[in-house]
Amino acid sequence: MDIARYSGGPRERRGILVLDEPKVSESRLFEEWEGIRGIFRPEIVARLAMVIHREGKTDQIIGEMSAQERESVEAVVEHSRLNLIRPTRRPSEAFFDVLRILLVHWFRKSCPLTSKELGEQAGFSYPTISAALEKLEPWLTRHSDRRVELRSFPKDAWFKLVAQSEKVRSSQGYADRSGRPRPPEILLGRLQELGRDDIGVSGVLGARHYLPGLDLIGTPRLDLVVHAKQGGGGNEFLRRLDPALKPAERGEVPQVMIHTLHRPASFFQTQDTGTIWADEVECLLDLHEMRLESQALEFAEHLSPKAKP
Amino acid sequence: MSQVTPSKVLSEVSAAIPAACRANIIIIGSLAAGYHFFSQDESKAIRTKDVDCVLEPFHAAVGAGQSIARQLLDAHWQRRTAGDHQIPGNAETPVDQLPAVRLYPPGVDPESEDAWFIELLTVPESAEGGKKWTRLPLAEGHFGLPTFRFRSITACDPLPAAGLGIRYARPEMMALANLLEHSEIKPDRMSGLIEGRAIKRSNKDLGRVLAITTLADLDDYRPWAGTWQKALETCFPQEWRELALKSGAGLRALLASQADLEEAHHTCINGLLNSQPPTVDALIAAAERLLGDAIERLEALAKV
Repeated sequence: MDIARYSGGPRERRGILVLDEPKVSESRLFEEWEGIRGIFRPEIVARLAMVIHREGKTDQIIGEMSAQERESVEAVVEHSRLNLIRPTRRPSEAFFDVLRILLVHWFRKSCPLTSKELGEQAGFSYPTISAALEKLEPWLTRHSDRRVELRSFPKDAWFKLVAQSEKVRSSQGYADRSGRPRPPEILLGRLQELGRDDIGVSGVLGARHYLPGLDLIGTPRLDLVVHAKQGGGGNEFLRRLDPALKPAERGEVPQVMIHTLHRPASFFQTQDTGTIWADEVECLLDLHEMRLESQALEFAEHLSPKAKP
Repeated sequence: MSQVTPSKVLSEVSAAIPAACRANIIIIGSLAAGYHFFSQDESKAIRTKDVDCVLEPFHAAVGAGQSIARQLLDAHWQRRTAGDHQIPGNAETPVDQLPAVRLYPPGVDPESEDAWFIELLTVPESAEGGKKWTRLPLAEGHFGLPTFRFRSITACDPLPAAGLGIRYARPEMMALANLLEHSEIKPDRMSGLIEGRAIKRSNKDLGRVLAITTLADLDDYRPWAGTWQKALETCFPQEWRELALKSGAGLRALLASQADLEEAHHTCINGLLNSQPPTVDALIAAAERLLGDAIERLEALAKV
């Protein structure tokens, strides 16, 4: 309605509604659009257009648009995504986010971080970061320039995170009831075809990326981490991996687990093959979630700096 | 319905028909699907009563049909007499009232559990629609070769039956023909019962689509979309896009109706999937995969 009002002014403005990853079906959107056409005068309708943007590209254009307008769509979407108002995250989540970030840096032997850097990577304010760091004090080294880093593996905090992992990571399992699940490697191949840079592979496949000799035969499921900071599109992409996947019910064994990462920094790693890997901490959490405790221990020991000569 | 071993029946049919006509025959239907998926495993039988033999190309169908029927009748294959519409006509009988050629092997009791018969069919003369009959005069009287609009799809790029000289329809082509034939769930029910139940023909044929999808057991059905596009372009060059866009309508309607889906499931577990009966959920999963991988892709190709 606002766009029509804007377009209906004397200066003959054009109104283009860009729907980025709409949750509503295409047919419903068409219906709505047809409904709108009946309300406004034809000269106003002629100035309106709607763009449906799905899976990172323009999927449908309804109405007339010039070549220049079409070319501008991607930039508009990108701008909107970057300035998207994030859903409110509770400060209580900050503790686990800060813990995970510090662990990634510790595993990767990165430099110590300032609170400002931590705040930017976690997406929380200074007081929230400060409160989280206080709780992690026993495992922290504070440098004279106020930078911090982990000094050892924070076991107690870690197991609190493991206990709440599903909630903290907004994990959702997907199962298929065909009796013939598609192998995780096949699903991964189809994910790669999508060219999504906001989805990282974690779980057993991810752990094997960081530790090829991981002592485990087979791959029980595909774990994926969706980086919600970049807008995301819900989990609709799963239909492109296997249209038979449905949200798993209680007690149902999932073939795919989707975890959501809300912080600004993804710490994803891209391989030459095009695979994007979630960070080491996400993979370790997945091993725990799958009750692969001996593999989780093996993986954690491999990653921990102290375990290396 | 008879329990038959596909490779055994196909060998029997091939051996019985004139060698010169074998190249004109394409086996379609459950026997073709069974042969494709189970020919390596003789322990797997399928339930069917008819062996559908498509005679093609259309211009050779009557000649081939006459040679085949003659040789089989001379070898004491028996005409099916049970049921309505089995008496041969004459030159005055309207073509759509002629009986089809349905023949049981010699010595078989048509009433027995294991009895099966071959039925001669053909492909349409052109891309124009509807069920049509082609007159087939024999010494015994006039018969008809039935066809339906989308049967030409089943004759696209058929596969050779190893060493038998006859060919059989690709399962994915039979699936497409059934999808096109049933873009909605029609109310008409089959005259023959399937395990005591009168099933809607649409549910039986769409169930066949799901049985083929299940047996194909592919990690990726997307290549079917390209194969289907080629077949549609060949058989229906003027309207292939329109047909492609309608190809998923019947399957979507089936998924939306629990009663219709249950009927399709009933035909699967008492037919092609008899050896490994799936759950209804597994059949839904097969339908979702076919829709998401192949049909939606075909629809997208039609919009380009």
